[in-house]
Amino acid sequence: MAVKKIKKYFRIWQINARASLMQRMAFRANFLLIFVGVMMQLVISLLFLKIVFSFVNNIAGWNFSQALVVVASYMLIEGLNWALFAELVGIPLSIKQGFLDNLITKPMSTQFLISVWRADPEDWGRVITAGLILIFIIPGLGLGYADLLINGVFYLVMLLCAFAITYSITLMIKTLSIWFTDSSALWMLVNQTIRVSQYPTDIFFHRAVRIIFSTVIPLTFMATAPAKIFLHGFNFWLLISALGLGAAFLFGSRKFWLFALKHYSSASS
Amino acid sequence: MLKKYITIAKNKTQAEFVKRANVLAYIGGNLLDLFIQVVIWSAIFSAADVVQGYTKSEMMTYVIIGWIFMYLSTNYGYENVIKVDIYDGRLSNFLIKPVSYLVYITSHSIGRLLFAFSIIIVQAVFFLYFFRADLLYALSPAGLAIFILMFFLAYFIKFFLAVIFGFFSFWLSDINGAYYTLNVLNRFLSGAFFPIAFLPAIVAKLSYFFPFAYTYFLPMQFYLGKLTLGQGMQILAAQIVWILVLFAVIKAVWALGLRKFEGTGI
Repeated sequence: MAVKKIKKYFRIWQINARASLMQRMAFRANFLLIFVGVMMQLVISLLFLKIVFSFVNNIAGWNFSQALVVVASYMLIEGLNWALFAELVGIPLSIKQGFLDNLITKPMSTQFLISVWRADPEDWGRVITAGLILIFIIPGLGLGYADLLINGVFYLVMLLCAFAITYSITLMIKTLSIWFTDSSALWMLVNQTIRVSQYPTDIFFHRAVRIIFSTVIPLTFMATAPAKIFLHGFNFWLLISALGLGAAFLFGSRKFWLFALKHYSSASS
Repeated sequence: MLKKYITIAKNKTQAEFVKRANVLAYIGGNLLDLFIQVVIWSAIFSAADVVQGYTKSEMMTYVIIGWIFMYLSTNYGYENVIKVDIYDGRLSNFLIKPVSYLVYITSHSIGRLLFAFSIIIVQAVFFLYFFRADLLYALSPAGLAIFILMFFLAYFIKFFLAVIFGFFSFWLSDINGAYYTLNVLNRFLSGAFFPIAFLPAIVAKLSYFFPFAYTYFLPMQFYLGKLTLGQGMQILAAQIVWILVLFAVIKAVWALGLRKFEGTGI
């Protein structure tokens, strides 16, 4: 029964992803320009990093290759979020235009539908680039095959937790639109904050900032912690914290979404 | 004649104050951008005294004063305002009224600028105080006057670029891709990510042939005293030339676009 359900949800995700791609390809010039813009942004970020490390050997204990692992991890998380769940960002518009009413009446999870209804295919470019960066820098990291394999597995678990945290934060902020007509400002603030995670959070010398970025807004667990596990191997406390935070954020966002739906009073509410 | 446009600007300022939480959060997010840059450059300067010809004070000034300069001269998405006016057919309202759309949208943006100005100035005072030990105040009164003029002209360069891209909506079904790419290019070639001096000489020289460098990097070079008063005047002249060129393009695109516009939305 559960397998059948998963298959059904996977099929719906596939259909939506294909529809999003077709929608984007209908305006090819626009799609190409967005893709070029996304890639340019990536190149500039890498260029900035290269420039920084041409003047210093390391920042807060991170050398160029290690910092690249953080950047690549951030790119993976950000890219996957847009490539899979771009519609989340459009929740306020879905509410204003009454589209959420349409989704609520469907015989399946509204949270799933609102998450996958739109996917931005150009963001697979970020994911692929991140993968290429990792492949390119691995030989210079000095990891043996066994280390690479074990660290790689734990790294993937950490990335999954980071992905769950990012998804949950986005969902919770966007869910606020059910009560407030415009929560875009809060989203902008959170989005900009999440962008900070593309740098190793160890560069924040102030302890209070580091504590905030490890608990309230767990930026540390979005890219820095996965990179640490990949570079230095298994770390019980990092792994358990990431799993705990990932589960807590997923659970919290799910509960908050269901609570919000109870207060939803249809279009333009 | 001007009264109606002044009223439009005033109305826009008042409307922005209604959404002040939005703008405050937006600026809060941008503050993080600045915060990160300050942290990273501080880390670099803990290992070196001079980087690519910049001392720590010069770089902090470039980043902080440059941030204030950049956000004061930002047009806050006018290409989208124009896009919606064209797509929804709202532009028709302006065509039948004794109002110039271009002057209307300019007044509108100035209204929004006045609001942003009041918020950023408060932040600027905080930053100028907080980082006072690291900042340079090297401008003479004449230099300061030129720098302020540079700011106004930089604002119009960015605004006119947004208007041109907004007018592309007469032909394109979606201008988001074009504007997104332009924005990334703008931040890169204007020196907002990092000073253009860090780029290979050929790229740096090439960037002077685009309007972007005149909206951040060159005004900041002038502020830092790396350019003379005479060179400052040359930058002003180049900014004016760019504004005239962009204005001519706007007029041409507007005339061509109106032929395409059907009044019912696109």
